[in-house]
Amino acid sequence: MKVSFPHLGTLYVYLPPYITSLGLEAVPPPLTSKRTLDIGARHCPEMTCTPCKIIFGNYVEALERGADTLIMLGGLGACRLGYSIQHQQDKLRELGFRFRAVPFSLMDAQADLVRVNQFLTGKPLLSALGSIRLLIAAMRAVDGIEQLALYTRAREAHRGDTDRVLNEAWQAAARCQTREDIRDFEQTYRARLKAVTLDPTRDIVRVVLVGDPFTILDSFFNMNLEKKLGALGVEVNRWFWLGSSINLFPLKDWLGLGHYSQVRRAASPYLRGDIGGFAYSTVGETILLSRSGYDGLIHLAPFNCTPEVVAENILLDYHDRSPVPILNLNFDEHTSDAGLSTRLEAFVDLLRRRKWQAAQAEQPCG
Amino acid sequence: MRIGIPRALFYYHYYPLWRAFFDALGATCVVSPPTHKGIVAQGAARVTGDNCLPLKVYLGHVLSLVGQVDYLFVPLIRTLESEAENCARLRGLPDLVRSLAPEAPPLLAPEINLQAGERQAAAAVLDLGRRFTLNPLRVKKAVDQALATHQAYQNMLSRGVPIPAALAHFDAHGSGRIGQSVRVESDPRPGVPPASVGSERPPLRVALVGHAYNLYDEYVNHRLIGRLCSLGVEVRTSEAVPPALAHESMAQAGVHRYWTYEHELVGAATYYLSQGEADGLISMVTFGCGPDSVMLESIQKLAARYGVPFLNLVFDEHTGEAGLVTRLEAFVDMLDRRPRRKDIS
Repeated sequence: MKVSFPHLGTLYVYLPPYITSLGLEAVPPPLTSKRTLDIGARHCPEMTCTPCKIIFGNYVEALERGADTLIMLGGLGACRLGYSIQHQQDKLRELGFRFRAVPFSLMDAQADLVRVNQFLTGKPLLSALGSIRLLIAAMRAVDGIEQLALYTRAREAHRGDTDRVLNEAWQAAARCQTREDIRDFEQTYRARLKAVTLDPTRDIVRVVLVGDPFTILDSFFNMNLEKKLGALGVEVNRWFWLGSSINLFPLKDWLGLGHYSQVRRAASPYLRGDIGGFAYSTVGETILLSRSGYDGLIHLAPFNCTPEVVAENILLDYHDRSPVPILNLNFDEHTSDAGLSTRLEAFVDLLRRRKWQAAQAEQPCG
Repeated sequence: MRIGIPRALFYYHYYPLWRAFFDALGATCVVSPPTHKGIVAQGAARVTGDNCLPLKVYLGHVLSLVGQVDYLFVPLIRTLESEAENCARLRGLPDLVRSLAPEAPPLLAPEINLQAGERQAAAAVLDLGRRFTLNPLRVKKAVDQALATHQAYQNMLSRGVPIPAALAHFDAHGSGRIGQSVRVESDPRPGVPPASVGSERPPLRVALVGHAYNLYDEYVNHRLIGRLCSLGVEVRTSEAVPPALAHESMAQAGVHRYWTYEHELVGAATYYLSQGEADGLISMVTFGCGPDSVMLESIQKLAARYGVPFLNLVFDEHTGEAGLVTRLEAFVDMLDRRPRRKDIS
């Protein structure tokens, strides 16, 4: 069985070791390119969102590489990606591909992981416990390295050092087969990143990304937003990390002590319960993170994403009360690189100036 | 007590029900005026540009009621069946109104979530009724009356009475005449064109699928149905298919359920096409509607499967009338040149 999946951030880095350890062959699609989007735009409904099109392009390119089993991103959750799954399968069959498919939803990642695992192995979760632990270890390691990279990228003395290390790291991660390999991999590349020469004089501002996870994680779609921000001396964080989206023991959340309970408390004055997609988390996280010491927030969403548009509009009112500035960026297939850079530069200038003013206010006689 | 009801979105589905409920509780319903340019402009000014037109229209209606009513009725209809949900905008409607129109009067926003069980919905309605009376039996009576009115409304639609005529009927008579046979004074079938004299061929029949709040908002759709009629076309609209039949057709078509209203539209299209009741299929959607953007795919496939010509019309607040007229005329001309479906069989 040749298993493939769409691109979602570093999914392609840590999913292959898991699939291989199940005794299957992993066939990741080629990295998302203009061609991927063109394929999606040709075959998907015209007015659907760009992530749907990109993901469809990924499926086609994976099947062209010989995959025969697809883990499809979507599932339930009142987002059109879930509705599209059926159409995407029909379309792929129309195009002449033969494959089996299993949906995977980020909304309910742990339950779906159990389902996907059952689908791939035909056995209950316990028999594949080793593989699951490998997957979770890989996710944590990869996320940890990415987080460190976000720190060094903003401070590196020579532009591009961090990304060179990351590129090597992702290639090395694909070769990991056991949890020991993962541990070695993590130690090696953490050390490599820590060895990147930093420029201590850079004036760093800290920004956190909220909104739609696909837009945050997909560097093709968001036009290397994190790299652009890093080059401007911005230390970026994200509200959503794939590694922490899988919580196999959600005991704390059941007891109302987990992070999600905090999000719910923050969102509840604005939104009466979940409305689909990640809108509820977006509202809650925006409010929590705007009070968490960051210099600014950037809300990312695909153009016309129904849940995120609702979240954005509900938060319009909060923008005036938020202690830090919030920038909304909507992406579609035509978003221009220069336009994005200009807006980011202007936003970062604004944040720097606010930071400088605040510092002045603290030392009036300086 | 005056309750404001925006003439948008759910209004077209549930106004008779709401009206009967509030009448029975001694409240007065105030419906916002039909959509006009000012309403759309006011609504659109409040939201970010990528919102759908129906939401902008809804907000405009909300704003037009400010200062005229004591409460605004903005129900939160989350789910209506076990397997499908409502779109995120509908599920966030009261929250959107509260945040985008802060000057709006206090909201009455019962939460209807049938996936959570009927008991939850009953509790929400009781809670709503408590604002008017402390006697739960009176609320119960109001609910019964409302449901009977809704049934009467549904029956009227299934008999082919168009939504505007049916709504006008309930608006004029309230719920006072439930049980008596309902007679509509206006022409019951304005969807039927005047008989074309001297032509031997039967008139063209076109199935028109779209959300009721789009099809019957004449400002939004530039009198689409009227224009089709004046081109000599018999229009069959999606809501005239009784939901039970539409669902049956859906099950046959094998399309999976995800969104309630989209499901009904695809069901209606399947019904008309499989019964051979349509020479052409027109879908009407608004730009930026997430569910519809994917639903169109199903409708397009259906049209292809049954070999019926298909026209999709996308509306936004800038839609030019001339472009619409040209497309409709071209489509009807094309249909007219094809053999009628009855002629083939």
